Amino acid sequence: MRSDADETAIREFVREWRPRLTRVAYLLTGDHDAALDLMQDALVRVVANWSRVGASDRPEAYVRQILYHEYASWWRRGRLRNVLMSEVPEGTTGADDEEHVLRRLVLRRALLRLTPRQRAVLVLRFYEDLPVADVAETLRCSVNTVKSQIRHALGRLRVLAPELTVEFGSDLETAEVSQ
Amino acid sequence: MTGLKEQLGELADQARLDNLDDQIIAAGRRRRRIRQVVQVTTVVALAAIVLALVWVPLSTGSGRPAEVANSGHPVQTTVAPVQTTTPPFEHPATLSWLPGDLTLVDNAPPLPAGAVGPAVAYYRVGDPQTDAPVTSVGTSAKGQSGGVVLVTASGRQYTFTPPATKAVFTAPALSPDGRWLLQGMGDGTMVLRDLESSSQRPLPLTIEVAWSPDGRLLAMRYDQSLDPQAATVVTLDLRTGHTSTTVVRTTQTLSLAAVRDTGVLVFARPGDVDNSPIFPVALYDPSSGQSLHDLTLTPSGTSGPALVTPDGLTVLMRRGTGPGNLPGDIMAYDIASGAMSTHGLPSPIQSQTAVPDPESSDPHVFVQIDRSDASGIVAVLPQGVLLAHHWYSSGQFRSDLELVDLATGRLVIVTRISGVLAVIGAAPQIYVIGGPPR
Repeated sequence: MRSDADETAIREFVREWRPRLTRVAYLLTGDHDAALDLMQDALVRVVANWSRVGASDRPEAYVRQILYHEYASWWRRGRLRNVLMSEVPEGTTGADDEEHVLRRLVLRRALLRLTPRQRAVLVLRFYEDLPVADVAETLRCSVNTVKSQIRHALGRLRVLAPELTVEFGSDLETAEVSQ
Repeated sequence: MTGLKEQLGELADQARLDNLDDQIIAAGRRRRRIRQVVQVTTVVALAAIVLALVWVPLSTGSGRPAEVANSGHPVQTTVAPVQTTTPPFEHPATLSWLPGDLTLVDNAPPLPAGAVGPAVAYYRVGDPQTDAPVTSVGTSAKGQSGGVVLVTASGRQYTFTPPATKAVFTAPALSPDGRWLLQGMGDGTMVLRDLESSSQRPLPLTIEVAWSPDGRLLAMRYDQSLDPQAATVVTLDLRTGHTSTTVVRTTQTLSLAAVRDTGVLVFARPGDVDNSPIFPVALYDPSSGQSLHDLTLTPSGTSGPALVTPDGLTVLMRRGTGPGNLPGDIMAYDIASGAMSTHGLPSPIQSQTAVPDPESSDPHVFVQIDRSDASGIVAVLPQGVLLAHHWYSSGQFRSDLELVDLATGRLVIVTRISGVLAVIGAAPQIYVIGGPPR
């Protein structure tokens, strides 16, 4: 039986992590519904394994691992492939100007044309701003593999979205050097 | 790098942030409960598998599936019985020490005083001119008067000296290795004979005997006092010739049923108390005579007396009321673990209800008789349970020794018997080494 304190902690944890994981999931899947599903699958696993999560020194690392492993299993099972093939139209908020909308569309489509592993390393490294070592730990691979994946991912981005690389080309070069 | 980070952040902010907290928490709880149930189920299933593997069927001699609590009340997990009305005849290589064909004789020469070699069986001859094998309780006059024939490993047959009296221990006893024969003499004594030599040792008349499975110990009960619950057992070590005496006091009237290789004495309800609903078993320390284990089985639906196997480890009971009131299952109770297993036996061969009238010269005149098959446990061997099956077919009384593999329910004929075997009660009167004395 769980204590009331546990129930409160779980609820707090879900409330805090749901938006964050949903955004990451959206970057990984490129689809709103798939992102919600992926986030939900990950958090359900967290709740089901709460004793382990609560006892962890770095619960955020544990949660992140769950999300990315779930994402990897989606890909292996072909579920993610179907999502990415469906090419759901991008919605707009109306408040964004046309340039921002166009930029998001280009980035989204470029991300979707990367491999799942490349997409994951980019999100972890550049969106979540994790050191390469933490990226490697999350994805359970070597640091060299992460560096290699980042290099290949950025190279692909230059080809797939040259307009974006022009916009932040120097940033990419900095990122490659800083690896 | 900030440019890419900002672009990714801008894209991520487009994610739809539906509030699914309650659904997520509820689903997580459900998954956790399911996992707990699966874990418990898995543990139970693994435990059951381990128990099943440990209690492998009786034929391997290492255990049997759990089926009953220590109370002795059986729970049904019956091995499916096998229908083998025409079982194939294939003499098992593992029982090659038994003859494939045995012709019963009632005029065998007397057992000589010299060495004859180890024996494998003995039997009592029936009388085809009487109704001995016909009635369900028929008894051959020769069988009752002690016409016992010894079968040696070389196939020779010898008639025994008639037993001393009918009131006390009358059946001869063979050691499990077939080397030693304990037989009653006409003068009220008994003789232990070494069949591989001419040596013999006189012994006082016993009322019950048991051999240890390794053939080393011969336990003999001598007590004939007015107190049926007092028992004096002398155990003879055949390798050293030493004897030890154990005085035990049972809580009720029990018989010496077995002696284990360790010397532990096993007492059980006498086999002739058929109608008792309980079957007490008691184990006694050979040195002190103190009780080691005392249990009372109250099996329901059993027929006939229970039987402690010669190794003193298992109690066998028969259950069922098939054609001819024959028991259909063997229930094995492991004394050490308290586990009960049930093993289906092959359905008996259907009896004919009409036989040629022996008083008529016309072979087409039949009379209706109340007869049935008879099937008794002869021995519990490592290969399975050996049954003596007696029936009437094609105008003849037939007998077979049949081996039932309790693991598979497979039945094979070990020995085809030509001649009429005596039947006492429902038990064809044949004994093989390793089986309980008759």
